[in-house]
Formats: sequence, C-alpha cells, structure tokens
Amino acid sequence: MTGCTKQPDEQIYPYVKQPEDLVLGKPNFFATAHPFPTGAIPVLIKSQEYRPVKIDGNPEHPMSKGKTDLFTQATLLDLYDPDRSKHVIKRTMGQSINSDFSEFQTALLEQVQKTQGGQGVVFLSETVTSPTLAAQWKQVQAKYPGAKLVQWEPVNRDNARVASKAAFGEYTDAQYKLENADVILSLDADFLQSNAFPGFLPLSAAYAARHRYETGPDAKPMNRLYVVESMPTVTGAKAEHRLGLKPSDIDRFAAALIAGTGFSGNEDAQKYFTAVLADLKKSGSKAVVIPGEQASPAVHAAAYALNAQLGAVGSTVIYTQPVAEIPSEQFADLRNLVGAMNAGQVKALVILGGNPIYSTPGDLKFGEAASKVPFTVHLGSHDDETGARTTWHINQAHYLESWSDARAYDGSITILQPMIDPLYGGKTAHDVLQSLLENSGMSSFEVVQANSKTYIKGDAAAGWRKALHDGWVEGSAFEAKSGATARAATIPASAASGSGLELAFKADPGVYDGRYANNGWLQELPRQITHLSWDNAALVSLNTMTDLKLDETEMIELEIHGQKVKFPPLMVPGHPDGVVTVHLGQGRWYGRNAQFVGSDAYKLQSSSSPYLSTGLKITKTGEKHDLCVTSVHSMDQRGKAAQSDLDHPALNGNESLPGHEAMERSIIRTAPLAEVQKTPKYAHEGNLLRETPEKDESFFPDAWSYTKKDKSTGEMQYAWGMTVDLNSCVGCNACVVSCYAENNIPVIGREQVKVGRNMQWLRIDTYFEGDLHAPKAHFQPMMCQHCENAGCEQVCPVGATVHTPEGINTMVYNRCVGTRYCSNNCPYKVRRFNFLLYADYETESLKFMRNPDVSVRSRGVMEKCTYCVQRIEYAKIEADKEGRAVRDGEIVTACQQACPTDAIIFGDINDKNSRVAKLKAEERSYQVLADLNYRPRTSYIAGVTNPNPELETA
Amino acid sequence: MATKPISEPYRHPVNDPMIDPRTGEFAVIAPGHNFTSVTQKIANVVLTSHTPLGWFFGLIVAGGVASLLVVAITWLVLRGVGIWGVTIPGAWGFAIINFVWWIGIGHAGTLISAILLLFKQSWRNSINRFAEAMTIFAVVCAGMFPVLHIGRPWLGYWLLPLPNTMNIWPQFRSPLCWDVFAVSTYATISVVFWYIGMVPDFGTLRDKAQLPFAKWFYGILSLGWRGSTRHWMRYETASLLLAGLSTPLVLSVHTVISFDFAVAALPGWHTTVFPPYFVAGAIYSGFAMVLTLAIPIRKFYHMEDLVTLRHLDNMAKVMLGTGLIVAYGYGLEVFMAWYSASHWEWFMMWNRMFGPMGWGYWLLILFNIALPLGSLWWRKLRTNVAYLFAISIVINIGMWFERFVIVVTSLYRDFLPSSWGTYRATKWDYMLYVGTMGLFTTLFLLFVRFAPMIPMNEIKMMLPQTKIDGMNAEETVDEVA
Repeated sequence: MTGCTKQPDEQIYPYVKQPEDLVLGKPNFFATAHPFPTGAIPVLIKSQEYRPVKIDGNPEHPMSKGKTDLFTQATLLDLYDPDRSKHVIKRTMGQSINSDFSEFQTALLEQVQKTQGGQGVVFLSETVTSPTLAAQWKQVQAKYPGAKLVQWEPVNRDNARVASKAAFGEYTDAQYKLENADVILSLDADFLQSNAFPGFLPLSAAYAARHRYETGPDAKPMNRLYVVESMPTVTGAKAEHRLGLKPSDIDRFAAALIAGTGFSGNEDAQKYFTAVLADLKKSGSKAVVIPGEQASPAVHAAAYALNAQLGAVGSTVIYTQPVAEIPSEQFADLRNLVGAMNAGQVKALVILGGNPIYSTPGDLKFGEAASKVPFTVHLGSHDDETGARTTWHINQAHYLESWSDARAYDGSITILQPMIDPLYGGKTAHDVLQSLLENSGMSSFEVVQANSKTYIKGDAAAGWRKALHDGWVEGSAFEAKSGATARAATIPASAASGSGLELAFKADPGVYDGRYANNGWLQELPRQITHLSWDNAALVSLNTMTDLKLDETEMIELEIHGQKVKFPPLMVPGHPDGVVTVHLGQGRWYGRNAQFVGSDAYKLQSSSSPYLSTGLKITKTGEKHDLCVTSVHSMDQRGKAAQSDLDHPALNGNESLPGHEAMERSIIRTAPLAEVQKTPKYAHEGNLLRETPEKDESFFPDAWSYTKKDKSTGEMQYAWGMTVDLNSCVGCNACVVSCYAENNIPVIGREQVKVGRNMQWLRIDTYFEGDLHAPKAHFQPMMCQHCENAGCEQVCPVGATVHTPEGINTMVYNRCVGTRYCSNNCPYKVRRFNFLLYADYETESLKFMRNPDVSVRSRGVMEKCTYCVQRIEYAKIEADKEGRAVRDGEIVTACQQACPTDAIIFGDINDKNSRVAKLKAEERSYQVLADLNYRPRTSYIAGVTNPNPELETA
Repeated sequence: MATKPISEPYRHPVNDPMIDPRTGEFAVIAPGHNFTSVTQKIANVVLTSHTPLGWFFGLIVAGGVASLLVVAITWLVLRGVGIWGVTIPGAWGFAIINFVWWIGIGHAGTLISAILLLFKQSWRNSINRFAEAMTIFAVVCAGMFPVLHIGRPWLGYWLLPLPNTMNIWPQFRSPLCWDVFAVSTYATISVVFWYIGMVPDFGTLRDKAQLPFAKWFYGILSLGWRGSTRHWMRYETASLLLAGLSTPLVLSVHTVISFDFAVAALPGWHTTVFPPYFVAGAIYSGFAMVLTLAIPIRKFYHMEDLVTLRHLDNMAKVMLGTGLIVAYGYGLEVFMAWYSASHWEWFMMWNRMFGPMGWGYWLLILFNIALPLGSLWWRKLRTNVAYLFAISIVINIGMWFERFVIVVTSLYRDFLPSSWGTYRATKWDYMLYVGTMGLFTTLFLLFVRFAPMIPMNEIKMMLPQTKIDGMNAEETVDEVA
C-alpha cells in the first residue's frame, strides 16, 4: 500500500571524481575538540559525505573516554542554525551593508594605525583557551603595546581566581581526582551537571565508578557525597546527604569548617555540620572538598585550606596552572573597560565572540558605553543583540568549520580541525588578530600549524599528523604544581553580607549563559530539577511560596539595585528559604528560538557581586503567565495541584504526590548500603505484587521465548536488551541531546511543549521523595522499554508497531495512521506523536544535519525509541560480512555513547557473557511496572546509597 | 395543522379520553383517529405546500452550526490533530468521547425498532421511525470522529481489510479494527431497516402527492409499492428478519466499543463490567435523546395524539431501568477498585473522584444518577413534559461526562507519575463537536420535512378498526394503506 505512493522527483548527481576515502553511506570519523571556557572537550565527529552529523567524545582521550555532555552534543545544531549570520556587515549612518572580510581588515588596520601604538584599542574576548590565539595576542601586543585584551564571560571563574591568587600567589586551577575520594563534600559545586563545571566528564565518570556497589575481594568501597548548596542541582540530588542553605550561609558553613567550630544554624544543619566534619577528618587524604566555581572566594579559600588540612592535595586534588591561557579577573577588567569607554578613552572595541550587550550585568549599561566608542567590531556566530549595535559585524565560523587549538581540563592541547568548509564563509578570532600582524594573509590553518611547533615535540610534520589523528598533542597535559600549598589566605569578606532576601544567579542548566538560547535542543530540554523548558523562573522554596502567597501562574516583579524584571515564580523542592534563584541566559531579543523566552536575569545582576545580591524585593503583579513545565503539563493544574495533591491521605501534607506514588509503585527502588549488605535481594523484597509473573502462570508459557537457533549456523538468535544503572545515572541529560542528534528528533516549540507534546524519545524522570522542604531526588532515564508482551502492538489496528524476531518493538512509520491507541496502552508513556508537522522539511541548513540512516517523521505518525536500530543493523551487516556474530560492545546506542557515567548498557541478552546479560542477572536488577506482565527488555539496576549512619535518622 | 390539537388532557381516568379506563394507562393513540385522519395528519407534514416558518428558521440555525463542522474539518485536515487538546498522556480526547456519545445515542433507535418489535411492544410504533432516523444521523456524526481523529485521515481506509499487492491486512487483534466492523455493520443494517420500513409510507406519499416532482420523487423511493398482500407479507417478513439481525447489534456495537477501553491495560479502562454497562448507558442516553427530539417535535407538529404521554412515560421507564444498570456499573467500578486490592485501581478511583479533574466525576454522578434516578420513580414527573425534556438534556450531558470521565481521567494520570499531565480541549474540539450537533439537527429537520416521521402503516395497525372487535366501527379500510 505505501509502496504505491509516488515519490517526488529529485536529481541525483554522482561524483565525477569520488574522493578516495569516501564510500557513500559510510561515515568517516575525525577528531577535534569543542572549545569551552572551562576547558575543551575532545570529540570525534561522525561525518557523512563530509557533513558532520553527530558529535561524540573522543574515546582515546583521557578527558572524554568517548563521553560528552549535553552542550557538546548540542553544538551540532549550532553549526546548522539557520539564524547564523551569513555576511560581514558594515553599519554606517544607520545603514547595514553587506561587506567582505578584506574590506574589514583594511578598515581595522587603518583604525588601529591611527592610534598611538594601539592606545585605546581594546579586544574583548571570551576566555582564551587556545595557545595559538594567546600567541597571536602576544604578537599583537608586541606590535601595539597600547592595545588591551579584556577577557570576559558572564559565567566565569573569577571567584576561584581571586581565591587562588590569595592562597597560592598566582592563578591556579584545581583538578580533582575523585577516583581516590571516599568522601566528597561539595560546597555549591554542581560537578555532575555539565561542562559548566570544569572537568565534568572525568569527574562524573570517576564519581560514578566509585559510587558503584561492588562485591568481591577487590571491590572498592563506595564513596559518599555531601552537598551543601542553595539551588537544588543534580549533584545535590545524587548526594547521600544534601543540605540546602542560602548562599551567605554556605560562606558561613565553609568558614566554620576551617575553624572547626560549630555551625550556627537550625538543628538539622548543626547535626549535618558535625557529621560532615567528622567524616572528612576520618577519611583524611581520601576526602575532598569541592567549591562551586561561582561560589564566593571565601568558599574557595576555605576549600583550599580544608583540602590542605585533610592532606588531600596530591591525593584527591592537584593544583595546576590554569586552563585559560591568559587568566584574568574578568569582571574587574570588564568594569575598567566600561569606565574607559564612558570616559571616551576607547577608540576601537573589537569583540571576539560573546554577546556582551546582552549578557553584561545590568548596572554596567554596557550597550550605552559601547555606543560611545567610534569603531566597534563584533565577531559572532549571530548578528545578535551585540552585532546589531556595532559598526562591523563579522560572521564567526563555528568550531566545526575552523582551525584552532584548545586546552582540555587536564591542560592537554587538541588541534581543532574543520569538518566542513565554513557554510557562510565565517572567520575566526585568529583571522581577526592576524589582520594586524605582518603576514596578515595567513590563514588560520597556517597560523595554527606554525604555532603548533611550540608544543609539538619531535618531528613537526609527523607530530602534527598524529595530533590531528589522535585528537590531542601527546605530553601537553599539565603537571601538578609541586609544593602548591595554600597559605592561610585572608578571605575576602562575602560581598553579599547583610540581611534581606538574597538573589542568586546561576547559569541555566540548558542554555548556559544564553549562548545556547537559540539552540532548540537545549531550549526544549526539560531541566532535570525544575522541569522547565522554554522558560526560566524565579525559583523559590515551598515556604517562600506560601509565606509570600505566590502563585505559579502569576508573574512577580523582582527588584534589586533599582532594577526591576518580571519573572514567574516556581517552587523547587529542596530550595532553601530566604533566597530566590534565577537562571541566566533567557529573555533574549534575537533569534527564532531565543527571543520571547523567559526573562532576562542579567538586568538584575550587579558587576561587583555578579552571582549573589542581597536586598531583593518581590512584588506581585497580578499578570498571568503560563509557565512551560513538563512534569505536570499545565500550570493551572500545577499551581493548585502542588497544594491540592497534598490532600492525598498518604502524604502528610508536605510530600509530592508523584514522588510518593513512584515509591509506592516500586518505580524507584533504592536502599542504603547497610540494608543492601543484609538483604542483597532488597530490590525485590516486600515487592511481591510488583514482580513479573512467572511464565508458567500464563496459558502460553512459551509466548515470550527468544531462544531459537539459526538452522544453518546453530547460532542463538539475538535478543537485544538494555539496562540502566540508577546508581550511576546522574541525570545530566547528555543522553537526551545525543538522542536528538542521532534520531532526527524535531524541536516543537514552547506552545507544543506546554501542552505536553514533547518529542524526546528519551527523558529523565525526576521524583522527589519525602518532605518537599528537603526531599531526596531520584533520576530515572525512561525510553521505550521494548516490551516482549507489548501492549502497544496488540492495539494498533494497522499493525504499524510490530515485534522483530530479535525482540525489538519496531515502529513502521509509513504504515502508521496515527490512532494513538498504542500510546494510551503504553504504561511508560514513551511514545511520541507528531500532532502537527513538527519536522522541518523547509530549512536548507537543517537538511545537512540529519542522520541519513534515520527517517524524518511526518505529521500524524507515532514515533519512539528504537534502541538505535540503525546502529544495530550496521553492526549486524559488518558482522555478516566477516561471517561472525555481533560482539558484545560492538553496538553502542546513542544514549549509551554519550553517557558520562556509563549508566546505560546495551547488548545481546541471549549471550550470557555480555555485560547486559550479566547485569540483568544481578539481584539488584528490576523492571519498572513489572507486575503488568509487559515484560520490558529494559531493566534498571536498583540504587544503593552510602549514608552516614550518624545522619541516617535525619 | 391538519387536526385540532388536543387540549391538555384532564387527568381523571373516568373522564379523560386519553386514559384507558380498563388499565388506567395513557392511550397509545388518542381516540377518534381513523385511517384517513392518520394519513392526513402524517402525510400533510410532508406534502404541505406551506412549510412552517419555524422549520426554515430551525434549518438556517442548524445549517449555520453545521457549517462550523466544515471549518473545523478543513483546518484539521490542513494542520493535523495538534489543533485539538489531545496530548501525551491524554492521546484521546473529545473525538473519542463524542464518537462514543453519538454511537450510544443511536442505540435507542435500534432498540425501539428491533427489540421492541420482536417483543411486540406495539406502542413503539409511533416513535419508531424518528428514533431510527435519529440512529442513522447519530451514526453519521459518530462515524466522522474515528476517521478525523487519526493522525493521517486520508489513510483511514487502511483499517479496512482491502486486498492489496503488499498483502498487508489490518491487525485483527486491535479493538479499533473490531470497531470498524461493528460500526459499519451497524450503519448498514440501520439504514436498510429504516428504508425498508418507510417503503409503504413512501407509497402513500406518492399516491397523495400533488406536485409532479413529489410524485416522481416518492415514486422512485417507494420501489413500486402497491400494497398487495404479497407485498405486505414480504414486508412483514423482511421487517422481522432485519429486526432479528439488528437485535444482536444493539448489544454488540457498544460492547465492541467498550472493548476499545476494556482491552487496554489502563486502570479505569481495564474492566470487565464495561460491555453491559456501556450498552445500558447507550440505551439510557439514546432514550434521553429520543425524548429531547420527540418532545419539541410533537409540540411543533401537534402530534400529541400520536406520540402520547404513554410513550413519554414508557421511555422514561426505560431510562429509569437502564439508568439503574448504569448506576450499578459505577458502583461496581468503585467496589472493584477496593476489592481488587490493586493499587492501580485504587489510585485511579481516588484520582477520578478527588484528583484535579474530580469535578467531572461528580457532575456525572449528579447528572446521570442523582437527578434522573432520584425523580423518574414518580409518574407525575414521568408525565410532566417540561420536566422530561429538561431531564433528557441532563442525561445527555451526564452521559457525555461519563465518556469524558472514562477517557480523560483514566489517561491523564496513569502508571508513571512522571508522565502525568492534563487535558484541556481547544476551540477546535468544541467547534467540531458543536458542528456535529448542527449536522445532526440539519439532517433531522430535513427528515421530518421530507419523510414520514411517524410510520402511517404501523399506526393504522393500532387503530381499533384493525382489531377483530373493531370491525364494526364505522369506517373500514377503503384506501391503499
């Protein structure tokens, strides 16, 4: 029937000369790195016909081991973003003219040469992690000694810089070795979320490795994580013991830890303090204290001192030179720059990346200051808020289009190589700086290659080739600074001392500082704790909500330092009282996805204390706002539901109904270590009603049998299965974004998400257990469970969802007529429906991005996780060609590949030696909703926590 | 119109001509009618050259409302079902609620025409025809929804077992596939039964018609009916056979539709009580709709002497009976939620009653159980026309809420709490629903104007003149029926 549909006519042009290494339909892989201010992420790009279609970690690089975070995954969409600026634009007399780069070079040179040795020329760059760019800057500085470089990013590491200078006498980065840590104390450090925290990939991997519950002689003991934080994060959710404190209290907590005296707080906090201090001391060099990058300098200083006291330096933490090539205190520099601009001292401002007119603190009024500079240049990927107000806008090349280099967390250098010719002829910061140097015609390739001789040891040509192939330059990682001991630093007083309601600023877990705000994948991604998507909110505690009588459907006005911005309030379980948290990065006014989303928190920020202010005033406006929250898909339900569900007789008036039900229904199974050791089958104890019925309880005991053997080879058939280790999953969302890229999942926009039509095939379910003032949180990645006795298959009237002999529940898209009955009968609600035409068939640039192995689904069709069937088939074909069975580990699903903590394992469960089969055989393995007899192929490994017995009863 | 309306009867068994002194029941047909008067009264509605202005007014209003349907369907086909409030988890919404509601309404017609015929309930004769018409128009409205609610309506024919080169068949385990058979069989049999029943009356109309076009039109429709004994014999046999065929359909169609829910594993759907309780609910709502239609029509066309209080009383009794079965069904659902000791069931019931959409459940209880079943025990109320009309509307709303409660409150909070959502219909949902009401009314108005709304032949059979002891009456059969 579907075969009768006439396909549209299209021309196919074969290569006249096919490139030697290209086989159409077979991907090539190239190593490069995603430059990020906290350190580059080494990646391996999957390239189909020389189009990058997927970004994954570089498996050979120790700082990635093949893993990625959500930002890195999502930069693929940035490359193909249709809103990218496509021209060099010159703005004079209120007119915008398309220009070209050489014209700009002449103009820039002319402008700079007019000055006396570059006096009044300022380069405003993002944090420089590229050795070549740093070298170029040094050349520029030598030629024009008056020129200045200001590095600045809205979410930066100033506080660590200030503290490290005080403690060590010079700027220093800390590298944590969590593989050695038995006890970890995080002071507002969200190191399990994303690369927003430096070294996220190695840290989360090491954390998860030590958080596995292992038995056997050489099993390492489980680590224990304490988190003291204000805004609840995934790290706090994973903690054995989390203490929610407002930011100023965290400073006090840190100070009390060094002093060793008590902590004056409520009873729970005091008890917590004593237990943590005792546990840290007990573990000594096997303990570590991690301060949050944006926590106050006092916290950093305390962490340096504590780690020194514990003897952790050299064991669980080492100090190295900074990843940033030219470390600086960015906000101070920015303030000076704005002062100079206002004083008319700046003759030319060259912005190399970033979007300062949008993302600078409101009190600086950067835009006004910049308008006083006669010659402004913006090198940026978008002609955005900043680009539109500069005299020159240069379209920046994406990192997948450019030559450059960058340092990773451990300092190792990766040479960035382009995957594709710049789509719109974009330029890099190298090109801009080179314009001012002798050989201004040198391409960035030549510049990088020339500079690489400074760090490639041995034969330059061979070393270059090897570095490009491997993805890093051997031996370029930093050594630990010997004898780096912290002096008893004078702790700068917390800037936010004083009483009153505090306002904390954090990078958004999805769009970071706003640079990803136009990235549909990241905008749409439900944030793990708040479940916000396409929105940001004033995040408050349950008490604040009730005390101030706020309503989640009604906007409130936040007023601080005379600045006012309206936000919708949102209750966050576990949020401390006395503080309101806002996420930066929304409220932009440029870009199809970024604009009209959320509120701009930068306007409230003050440059002197950018991450925390005191003296917040809240006024209710009476304006209605329908927040986009994915956990309960309607605000008028949620606002009331948060209260009305509390009426459920089992909830004690302060628990979340979904969280309570998740435990009641044995969806989440977890136990403390002591209980696990006592009853290894704890995941199944007392859950008799929640277990899969035995096969012989059925009239058809052979119904779900996958043990046929191939008649010709005698090989057992494949039975694909997956298992997810809830102990390892940190809920970082990397898998979800990876799934987006692999499976051509559409972005549907705010209005559609708001009514509950999210298209993510894989989602992270968060459940809050217990009292909403200080709940425990549990994450559960949820995707199609590929049930053997699948309800969806039985109810489809056209047989569009069927079972393969290998046990995969398959969607036949072109057979689907869209009755949605399958979704109704799916207890996991993992099926996703194209209620409208969600796939973008029009935008040219997005066509390049799509994975050619996965169909793009049209309107009216159901879709869902396929276990990455295209990867399974690819592996099977390869195995067939070699006349063998698929080996364990040969098939890696997209989510598994991205997972930084190795929580997702896929393989053949008929192969008793496969990792997945062994894990499924474990006593802790369980199936969600097993009692329904759907017989899911995906199982979960029950969680184990390692609580401190002293805090157990708390 | 043709005859003087009978004034409000004086309700005393001795004096009231409408009350049979022997049984104390209201008469099925008012005294004083003979064959001519019956024919005149019914045929005149069709053949009159003075169409009442009210009819035109009604048609314009109904047609206007029906045109919303065109708008709603056009936009739906252009944009997709995303214009509705359906979402995940509530993947079914108004379309399915309305489908079940309309199909349910249809059931009364078939029950009246088939089951009551087999049970020789001759009182049914006067309401039989328009109840059947109501069935067909309800099925027309209902039939649109399943096609429109699928994601790709132009491929809806894939649900039919059509031979094709790819050798792909529908998936016969799916209740939706059974629906296709159930509803299409039902629609076919109903149309045939309705039409066959009208053939003798079309013959009468042909004979009475004055206009050449009307003569030709009814001539074609009457299929050469001459009223010979052989015709009558075959007609009676066909009626009985079709009644026999329709009778199981009354039970089976809504049973199959209840399977759409009962076969799924969802708490709130996965219930064995659904088939009987759906059938009872269907008849309940169907009779309510018959009353909603009959009461204004009998008033407008002054048919109080043919559709008497006896009919209204009887229909109210049927509603009382089926309503009690429905109430039993609701009770049993609650009981089983407790007795099963299943957390799923218990939570579903708690959520249905006290969750964010609990208001739906209590409206349903009020409209379907409390108001009608509390009052229909009283003959006074059963024969109070205004009250009956009001209560019939209440039951129609209540039965709509029953389907709303089943579809929505089961879906929006199911197994995984992470996926709980809500449901909110959009203007397009309402437009389509209201549009089908317009279509239904339009079709019905056309029917009462162009077809005999009450079967003349069957009414005549109830006249005393056709009975043995009526042979002595002053008039005998002197015309072709």
